[in-house]
Amino acid sequence: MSRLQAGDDAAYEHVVRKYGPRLLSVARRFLNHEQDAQDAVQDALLSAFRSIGRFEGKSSLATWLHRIVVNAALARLRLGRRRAERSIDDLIPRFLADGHLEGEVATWAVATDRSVAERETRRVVRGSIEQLPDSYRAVLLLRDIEGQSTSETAEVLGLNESAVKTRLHRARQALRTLLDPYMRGMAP
Amino acid sequence: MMCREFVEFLLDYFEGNLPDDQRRPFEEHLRLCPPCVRYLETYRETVQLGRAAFASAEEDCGDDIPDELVRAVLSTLKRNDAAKSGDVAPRGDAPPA
Repeated sequence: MSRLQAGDDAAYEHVVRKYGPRLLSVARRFLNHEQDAQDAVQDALLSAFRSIGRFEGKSSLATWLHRIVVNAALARLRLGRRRAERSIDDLIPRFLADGHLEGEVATWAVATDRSVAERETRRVVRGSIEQLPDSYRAVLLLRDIEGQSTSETAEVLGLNESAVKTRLHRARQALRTLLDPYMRGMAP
Repeated sequence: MMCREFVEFLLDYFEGNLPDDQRRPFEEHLRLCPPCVRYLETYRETVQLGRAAFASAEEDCGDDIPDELVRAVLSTLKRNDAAKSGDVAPRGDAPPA
């Protein structure tokens, strides 16, 4: 740490190579485009090195860098927000005129607790989360994966808490629909 | 309560934020409507699957960091050009909640 704070080039390179892969995987969760994810990691590392004097050692360096790269990825997402997002209405349940659920709701044949131990299932779930539009994926990742509260998520995304709750619920429903064929045992 | 309201209230129910006057009809609907029982179960499983998908270290170990990214970071540092990039570092080093 003292070498980092002294601006030692070798210490910087050690941090980039040691923590870079992990930071890149976190950035990829938020940003579907590889170049955007790499740019977010670069933003994060440069910002971290510039701010290394502020690092007080109360958390681990890995935790501190993780938080910085999440912020960097969210900043990149905001830059790209001008792109129109696709609607997820077709992934949300529909209801009959009398208020009943439309269509069949099947039990999942694949046991969740067993399937999460399987690499293939985790790959399918990550791929399904990737399919969510940016604004829904960001809320889902911050609340369900990063473990942030509704108010923290609202603050970091510049939304009110009601909007965060609505987006989280819709994101979970959309993810459920995307996982349904696989978890019913109907997908290859 | 119909399925439409039941599904609408799911998030608050899971987070323990459903007021008593809504929780009672919610649970009564749950007792009477098998499709909503299955919807609730699969919604809960979806949240569990999402959390588990990133809990493993496997996704972090698959790839190395691209050399060009390492070089870009280090060369920018050497040019002392970091001030041009956005400041995304938090104040202090409190861990995320």
